[in-house]
Amino acid sequence: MGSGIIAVVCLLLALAWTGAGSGEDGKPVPPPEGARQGYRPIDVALRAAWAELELAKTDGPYLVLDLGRREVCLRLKGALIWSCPMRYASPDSEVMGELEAYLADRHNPPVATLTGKHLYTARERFPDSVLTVVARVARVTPEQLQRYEPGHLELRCGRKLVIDVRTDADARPKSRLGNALAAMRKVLTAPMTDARIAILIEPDDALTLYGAARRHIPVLVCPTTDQHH
Amino acid sequence: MLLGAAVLGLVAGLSWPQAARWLHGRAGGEPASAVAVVVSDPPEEIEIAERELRRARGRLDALRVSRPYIVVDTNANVLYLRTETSIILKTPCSTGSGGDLIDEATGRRWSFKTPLGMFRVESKLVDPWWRKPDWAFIEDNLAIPEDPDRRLDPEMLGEYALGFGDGYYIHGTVYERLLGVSVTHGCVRVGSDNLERLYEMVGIGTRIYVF
Repeated sequence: MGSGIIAVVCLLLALAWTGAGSGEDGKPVPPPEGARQGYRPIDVALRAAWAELELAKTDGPYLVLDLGRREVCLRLKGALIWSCPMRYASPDSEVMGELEAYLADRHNPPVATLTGKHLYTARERFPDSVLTVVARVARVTPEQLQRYEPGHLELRCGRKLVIDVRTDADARPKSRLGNALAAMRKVLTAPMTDARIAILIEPDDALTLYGAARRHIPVLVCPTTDQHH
Repeated sequence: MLLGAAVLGLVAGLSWPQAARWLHGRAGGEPASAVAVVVSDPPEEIEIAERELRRARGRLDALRVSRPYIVVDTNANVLYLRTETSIILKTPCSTGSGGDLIDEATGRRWSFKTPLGMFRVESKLVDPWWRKPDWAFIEDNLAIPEDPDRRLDPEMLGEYALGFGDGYYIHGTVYERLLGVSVTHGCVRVGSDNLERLYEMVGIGTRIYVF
């Protein structure tokens, strides 16, 4: 019975995804006749700089994947408010190739939008026994006080960009059903996803990233600084 | 989509609107972002593009904050005093619990969240006294005192306080063992040693970023 329900859910999910449109960034627009197929490295760098100038005018923070500095950053009105070093889980050349292709694609806007996140595994920062007592005093639930250090976190920008974040935290699955559904979604949407990268960061940093990565936060991928020739 | 949501809801124990939102969001069908960033096509000529890039990067550099500023990470409950390139001070803090309080007698409601965004230090206080607001009495099922002097508490806020508007402060605490946990009513609590250093190193107008 359970496996039957899961099979039906998979089929319906597949139907829903194929019918859900092109994602948060609108319909793809074919390049004008005679235009170059993709952006040159200098175009990519210039679009990223212009995009950040626009983001700095807004009131909210934005995430920046700085490929040159190998950092994940959070900026607000142009100021750096948080950053952490990142390493790639795959060979550099693979990751850079995928991102360069993503950035050069005229169908991709310079700024993606976070549409969702999924916490596959995590480690609780505080023991439940402590939070039970503190929560009573603070008049909130222990869950509201708990913080999670991700072991594996997925950040999704529609079908444009998926960022797999991994740490070496000794983590446990948050929800087996949630993870199963997320894994199914990953398989079903993989052919339609423009770029997928996996990065490694420290557990403390992942805790902040997990909390800061709220839905609709803009995500800017900044190319390496020498990409303008 | 609706049928899928209904089935998903049955499986996961969600209402169908919740399941539909989950399904819609995860299928990449979210509505357009709250921030719409539109940039022009770059110029064809490389020299012009390079000049535009230098100009844009110059404008970005001008946005970087040259003086030290405070950052409060409400996710990890850490406060920084930093510049663009270095961290001067890093200390655990406590931020808003996110809890709500409703006064059943009057229907008044308070939400104990630390506000997010960019602020500035508006005041610097030494040995601040806390003038307890109504919620501090309602929370403990105490009567709100008529005498305003009965609202005053000389110990609760520690030795220094930095105000950043709307009654929110970075201040000390008698609950240093709870630093790192979100237990406050919205203010940012810091341990006494680092609070003193912070107080000495910032001035009126210093930026505070809370995220």
